[in-house]
Amino acid sequence: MAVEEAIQALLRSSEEVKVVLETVNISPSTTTTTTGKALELRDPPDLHHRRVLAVVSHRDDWKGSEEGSIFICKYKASTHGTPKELETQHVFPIAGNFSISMAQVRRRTIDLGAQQPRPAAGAAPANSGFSLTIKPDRGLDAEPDSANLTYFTNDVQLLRATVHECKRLKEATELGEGVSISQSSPRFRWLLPYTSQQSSIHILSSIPQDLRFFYQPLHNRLSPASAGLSGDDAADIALISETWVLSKAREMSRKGRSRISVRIGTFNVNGKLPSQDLSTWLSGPVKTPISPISIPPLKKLSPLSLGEVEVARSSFYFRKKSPDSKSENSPPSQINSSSALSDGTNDVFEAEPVDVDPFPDIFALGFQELDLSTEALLYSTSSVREDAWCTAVFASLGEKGAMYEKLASKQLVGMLIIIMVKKSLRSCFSDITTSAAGAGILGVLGNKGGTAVRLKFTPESSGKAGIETPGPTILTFVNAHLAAFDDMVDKRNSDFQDLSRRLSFDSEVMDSTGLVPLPISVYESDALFWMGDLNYRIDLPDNDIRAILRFHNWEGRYASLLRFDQLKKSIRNKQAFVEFSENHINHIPTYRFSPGVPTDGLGYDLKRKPAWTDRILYMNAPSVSLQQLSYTAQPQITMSDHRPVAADFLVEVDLIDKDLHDNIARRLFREVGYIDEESSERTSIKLDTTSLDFGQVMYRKEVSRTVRLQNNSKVPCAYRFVPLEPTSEIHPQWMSITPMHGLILPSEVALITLTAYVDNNSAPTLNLSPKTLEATLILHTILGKDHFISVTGEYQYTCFSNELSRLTRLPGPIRSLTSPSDLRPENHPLNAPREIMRLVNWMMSEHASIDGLFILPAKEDIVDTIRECLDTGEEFPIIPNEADTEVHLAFAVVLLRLLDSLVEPIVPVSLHSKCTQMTSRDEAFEVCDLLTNIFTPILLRDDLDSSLPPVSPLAKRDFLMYFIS
Amino acid sequence: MSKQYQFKLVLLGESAVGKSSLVLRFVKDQFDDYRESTIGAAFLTQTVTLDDQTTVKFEIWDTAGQERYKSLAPMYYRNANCAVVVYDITQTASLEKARTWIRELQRQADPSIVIALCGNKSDLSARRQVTEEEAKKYAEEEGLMWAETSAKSGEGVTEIFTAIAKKLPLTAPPSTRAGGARPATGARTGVDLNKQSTNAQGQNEACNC
Repeated sequence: MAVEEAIQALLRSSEEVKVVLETVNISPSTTTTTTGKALELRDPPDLHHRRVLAVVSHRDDWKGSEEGSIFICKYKASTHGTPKELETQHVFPIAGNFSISMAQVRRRTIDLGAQQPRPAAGAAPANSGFSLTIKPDRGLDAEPDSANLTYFTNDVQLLRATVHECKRLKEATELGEGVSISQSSPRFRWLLPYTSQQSSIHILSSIPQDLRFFYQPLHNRLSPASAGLSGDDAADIALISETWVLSKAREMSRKGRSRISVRIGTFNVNGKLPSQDLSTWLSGPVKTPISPISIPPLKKLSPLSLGEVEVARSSFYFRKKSPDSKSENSPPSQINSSSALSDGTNDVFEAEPVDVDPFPDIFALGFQELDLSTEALLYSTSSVREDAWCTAVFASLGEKGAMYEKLASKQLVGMLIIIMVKKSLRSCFSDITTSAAGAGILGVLGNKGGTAVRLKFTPESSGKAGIETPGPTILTFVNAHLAAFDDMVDKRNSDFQDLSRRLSFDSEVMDSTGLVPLPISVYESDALFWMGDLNYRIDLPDNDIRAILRFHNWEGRYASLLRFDQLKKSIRNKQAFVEFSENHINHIPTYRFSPGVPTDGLGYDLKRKPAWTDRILYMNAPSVSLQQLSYTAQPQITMSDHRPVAADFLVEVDLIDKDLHDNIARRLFREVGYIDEESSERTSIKLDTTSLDFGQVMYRKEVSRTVRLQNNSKVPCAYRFVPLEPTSEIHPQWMSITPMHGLILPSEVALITLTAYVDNNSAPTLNLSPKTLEATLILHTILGKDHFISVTGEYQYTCFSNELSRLTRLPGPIRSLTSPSDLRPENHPLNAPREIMRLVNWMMSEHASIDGLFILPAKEDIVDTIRECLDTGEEFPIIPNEADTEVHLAFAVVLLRLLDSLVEPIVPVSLHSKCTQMTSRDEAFEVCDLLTNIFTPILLRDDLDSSLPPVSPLAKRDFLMYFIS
Repeated sequence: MSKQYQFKLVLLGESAVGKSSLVLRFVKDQFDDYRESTIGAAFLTQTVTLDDQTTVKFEIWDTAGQERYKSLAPMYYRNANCAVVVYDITQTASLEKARTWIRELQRQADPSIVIALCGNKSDLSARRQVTEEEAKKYAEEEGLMWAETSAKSGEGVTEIFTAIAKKLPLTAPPSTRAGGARPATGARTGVDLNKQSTNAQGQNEACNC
């Protein structure tokens, strides 16, 4: 029967429905508006008076006890079709003073003015029904102020069954009290998920999770725990189940994707009023003359751009692999560069050839230094300047300007943010709020700071997948102006932190006092765009910057400068904009151009180091996919001392059926809400294996094994991996576990993948250790057992990731080593590492001189074959069916990677500055005689973490020039 | 004033002597003829009521007996207030193993740890290899509690745990919580998805001990 299914949908599987009774609510308290009137009950009765009563039993097999409860549910209002869904209105434990009684009433004469329904005078079967009065127990605090409730029904059989079952359950409960085994286990805990408000508050809240959480693996947010020290299991369960429920609900209610285009612009106008056409800044990527979709040309970078690869290599590998895209560590779309040195596992960004409307759905324009007057600082001025800029923007859009309207704007002194949307999409945007925070003089004045706009985007409901209630996406735009001057990087970082905290929006939810709205952070968004004059400079000598910028035909010139960019450095050192993404910059530094002051040949002010002060960064939740289509500066717009910057984004959001999502989430919350320390039901999972062998583990070769977890208990089971010791790692560096935590419903199965992968981070240690790999992983089932999983493997030594000096002491091919210390005597090393000589000899004898050698990437399978031959000492095979070119390229790549994998750069970092002081070939020869231009980043590899002052790449280049000339 | 104590108890001993069965009998009063070997460490709790005033809650870690997991045992007996070292009365070798564990505990564990030596499988006395006298003498020499038990029949099981429960409060200061390393129980009760439980936590903490 449908109503029984509807009840069942509200309950967890551990509960049993005994009786379901359809009734009409005739409780006095609920019908106050009709006091004094005899209400005629219509047939069928009004939906909002109908109630479904269910007697529910919960058995605890462990304790051998049974507890009962009565659920009173009402139909959910629905605008479409017949109501099928119920929601719980009251839940009463059948215990203590709980009582239930029935009486016969005459159906058409119920006097609702009376406190109690009057019993019918005589038996009149056709016209009479029965009333059921429930007196809740007031001893339990489940429903603190509930009066007696009365319901009407005419199904006497079910009514009798209801009363009978309630009496039986009450006795059963009382019996249970008598033999109570453990005082520590309170009664009726199983009702908590039904009575507490927490789950519904959570789901219904339209505030997305803080974006920063997505970047912090959930595992790091769990309580500290290790073998035998479980940590705060209750909090861990809450966190794991919440994450699990929300991602599951999202997955199950996703009906597709919806797409909007966004163009972000930032412009420091230096107090000027608009005096130029802004169309190049405003128009989308199609209009740019160079390419139809001006994706920053992600050509194959030369090995000189090692710095970029460095970052990707260390962090990207395991991020990329995370298979469940819902999990917290799934990386937002990121543009990665590829180069001859990359290992082939990096994703190469390829823009889909999407047909982009040059006129985006949303414009978000940030202005700084709109008004430089002192008055502006002291009191809020008129919107004259804002109006002027708006007019200029619309004018520059030409006839297309009529397509748009201004949706929101916020000004604080010189900082102004304007949001414009297409009129046709206006109805999709709602809940628009703004915020402003000063960070300038005294830390609060608005000469520096930020303004922000938050808006809710709800995809058009019509047509798409038949969703009546599409879920909204929150977009937040921040326009900031941070502290100026070269050496104020710390202030910029603290300004950023300050704005991160203080830029907030008012929510509809009040705080505990009921007076102040709870603030919503800018990070509580699905996508956050942060633009502005962030004022970060380049940490290189002035001359170097200008000289490098003059190398017009050197593709790597921006990359080599950006390695010293203060913003990039602050992100790297986690001082600001942590986990924000920024596209690769392939445009000129946008600061500082000043008409009338002495400039260099490129037009930059001689008194200020050129810098990329004007930036656009973003962050997005896994539910939103973000693709950046352009990132450009507009050198044609010369009215200010800055050049405007713009970026196009394509934002794809999940099309969620909100009602479905909330229902699923509510159901799942009830399902998992049962994990509880005091519950006597113990979680228990079974592993299909407790020891795994990876077999041969080789450098850069992935080996995976799977463990199958089966929940064979009656309750949901949350699990997490814990380290052996509080301070140790959960797993060795050479392997990974996915997922690291999770939740399994009763009788369901989860698969855990263990992957062995040795890279340049783990190989140096493994090359110096015995071949046998052994580890014990500890899988902690929360409130249950620690399972041990033994993993073994046999590491295969590689000549990669060693010290150069060690390679010269190998008695033969490294693979033939029986022990890591089985080396030639220290005073009898080889003249040169055998592996490097083999590579060089091959390349010389094959007269490998083709275009792009050392620059173009190679086929990974050939690279692997060559590397394997170096490790085993076997002859290089003749590789059939491959063009000679490919083989040559592969040899070059192997050589580069081998040198790059060396534990220390060939020329020690401490010598770098000495190198740069050389002034002649002879002097330089004293340091080293091996260098060529292409080896710069390898031979003089930067140590970005070094405490030594940064060395100019230009000076390094000069050093190398002495060899060439 | 009623007192509630909480202690961490660890079970050690050779594989297949009946550690898990002993715990199952104590916690659930059940016995399972075909128990699988424990690979890992099971966590269970049981409360013993000493009198109207005093209850002792045991947080029990039942460890794996297999030799290959021996190196993990220290993680489980660190901070333990008491250890039950189990041997099988039908296997002389298992008492030898128990001696090894006891030596290790005396060397490595918390110096105030209460150790009980427990000869399990007393229902199989027909196949006995370890005499009561031998084990008892050893226990006395080392200052250990000692008893024979049968997880199968239940004989002696509750008694040994109750005896430990009685001995513990005397040796451990009343304020001692299990190991001191675990968070107070107040923070561990209930599932709160919204972390709005500050009140509840406060109350629970206030009523400890």
